Amino acid sequence: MFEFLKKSQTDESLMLRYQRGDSAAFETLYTRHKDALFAYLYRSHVDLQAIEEIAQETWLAVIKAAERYRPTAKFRTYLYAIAHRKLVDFWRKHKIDKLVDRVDEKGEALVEKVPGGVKLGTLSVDLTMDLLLALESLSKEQQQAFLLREEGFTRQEIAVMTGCNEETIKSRIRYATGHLRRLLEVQYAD
Amino acid sequence: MPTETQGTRPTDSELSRLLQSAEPPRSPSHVDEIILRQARDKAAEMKAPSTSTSAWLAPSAWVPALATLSIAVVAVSVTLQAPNDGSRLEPSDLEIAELAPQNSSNPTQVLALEESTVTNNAPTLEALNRTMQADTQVERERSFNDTQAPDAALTTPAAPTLDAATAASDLAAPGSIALAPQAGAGLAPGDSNASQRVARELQADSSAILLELDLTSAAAPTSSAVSASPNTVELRQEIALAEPRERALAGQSPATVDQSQQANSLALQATAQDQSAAVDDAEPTVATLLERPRSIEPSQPDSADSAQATATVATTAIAVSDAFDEVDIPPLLAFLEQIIGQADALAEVVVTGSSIRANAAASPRSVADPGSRQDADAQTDSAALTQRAQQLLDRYDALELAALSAADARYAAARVGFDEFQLPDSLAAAIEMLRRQAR
Repeated sequence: MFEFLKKSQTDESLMLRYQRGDSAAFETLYTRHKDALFAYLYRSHVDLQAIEEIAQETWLAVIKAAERYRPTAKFRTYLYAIAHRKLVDFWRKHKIDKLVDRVDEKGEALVEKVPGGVKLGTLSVDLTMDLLLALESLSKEQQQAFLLREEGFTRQEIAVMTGCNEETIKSRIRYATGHLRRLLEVQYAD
Repeated sequence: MPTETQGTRPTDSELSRLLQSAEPPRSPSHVDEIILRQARDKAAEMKAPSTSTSAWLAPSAWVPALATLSIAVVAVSVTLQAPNDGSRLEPSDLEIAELAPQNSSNPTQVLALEESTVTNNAPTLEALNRTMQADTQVERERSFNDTQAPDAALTTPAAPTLDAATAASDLAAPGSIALAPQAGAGLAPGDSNASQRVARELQADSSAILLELDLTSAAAPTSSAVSASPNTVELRQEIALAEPRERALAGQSPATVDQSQQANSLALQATAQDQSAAVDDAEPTVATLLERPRSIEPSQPDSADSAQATATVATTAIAVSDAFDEVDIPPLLAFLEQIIGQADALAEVVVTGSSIRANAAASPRSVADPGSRQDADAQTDSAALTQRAQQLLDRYDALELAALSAADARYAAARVGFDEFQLPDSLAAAIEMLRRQAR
């Protein structure tokens, strides 16, 4: 019964409770979104240490700004917008214009030699890795548009979070999807 | 179930399923601990914001209060600064300003006095202001002595001259002379703000004016009039109080003091009478002062009126000259007395302004003698002067032809040395002038 009540509470109401000093509300909120956010960051970047740093900064920013929080939008949108901004800041800080490709010992990009032989129905770990490698071959804007859409955000929400107009987000998503499908075409052929 | 394919490419839904099937690493526990600890600390902070010290240090807590306090301080300072502004008109100035249009019966005289005496008005105006603001009689005397020190009419041992008469006229007609520098300093024609400020300050200081009116009402010719005459009488009293001390410090002879005092008092009185006649229809009570702030405007003649103002200077100068003839009775009287009645003394003394003082010094009067003040008051009395002049005229009429001829000759000789003012050409003319004044 208690767990049901906790789950029935919206993110916004939990955040407002935390605003009044209820730390348990924040723990519920954190438990609800921590893994999803970490997965989004992991898909956006390959460096696990950097992902931990960005995730921590994102949640601390939410805590610090809790007093000024107003439920004008979904908390999840609010959270991912902060995460996206932290991610972009990280890229700018490390002067990363394009995602670093996962390379082999010879320095060749792994995305160029994605292993085949695995059908989509099996959904093997290798294919999933192939998809991640293919994501890293995208530009950051296309990657973020695609990943945020996969997180369930609408084009309008993505536009607000990334500071672009909706048509631009639509174009980026279309381009990212086509690029990923071409990269994974070999596996499908096998 | 490798079904949903578009050729050999995965569809969007397949890409999504593939992406979601990947198991990303979970949030590390050490990151969770850091974040939750920070969250608990922040929750405790937000739980009791009123008792937290940091809440008071936050800008959001004290900036509005500081802004409100700043606005209040500015408002109070502006409110307090307005009546304490040094450049504003003093109450006495306001009274003076109201007197100016009351001289509208003779506006040319007002303008002429403004232009002709503006350079000599600073000490007089200051004396008036101090007189209005002084708390005690002693301070008033000291103030008046200090400010009147450079005034030639009161400090020079000579008998009243044209300058003395001018200064006396200035004292008696402050409304016509004091407004020009004051208005030039801070007021402009049609300045509504200045007018409002004048009215406000006048209302604020009306009690002080009323108090001053009480002080001067005893000496005023009429109890209801607050014209130049009461001020003149008051100043005359102050001169009478201040002069003995001043003369004693200067080491002058008592008789000289009496002569000068007599002359000054008579001059003041005569000018006051003249001013009273000029403002016959004007009785500037406090009520009228409050009702008529427009009095500032006459002191600022427009360029269009400058020609008219300039043209009136000559006319007014004539009027002032006539007033000088009237107020110089005492030296004329003393001179004629010596010509007519003290023939034996004339052989020894050359009749000049200084010789009159020398003769007067022979009289056993002391500056410190309380009776000297009574004498001075008696001499300043116009009735006493008239009586004295009448006696002299009677004595002149009783002269025989030889004595009259000799007196006429002595007059012609002594007239050259008399440098105080312009005497008539003949003794008969001087007697006639005296006779006119006596009437």
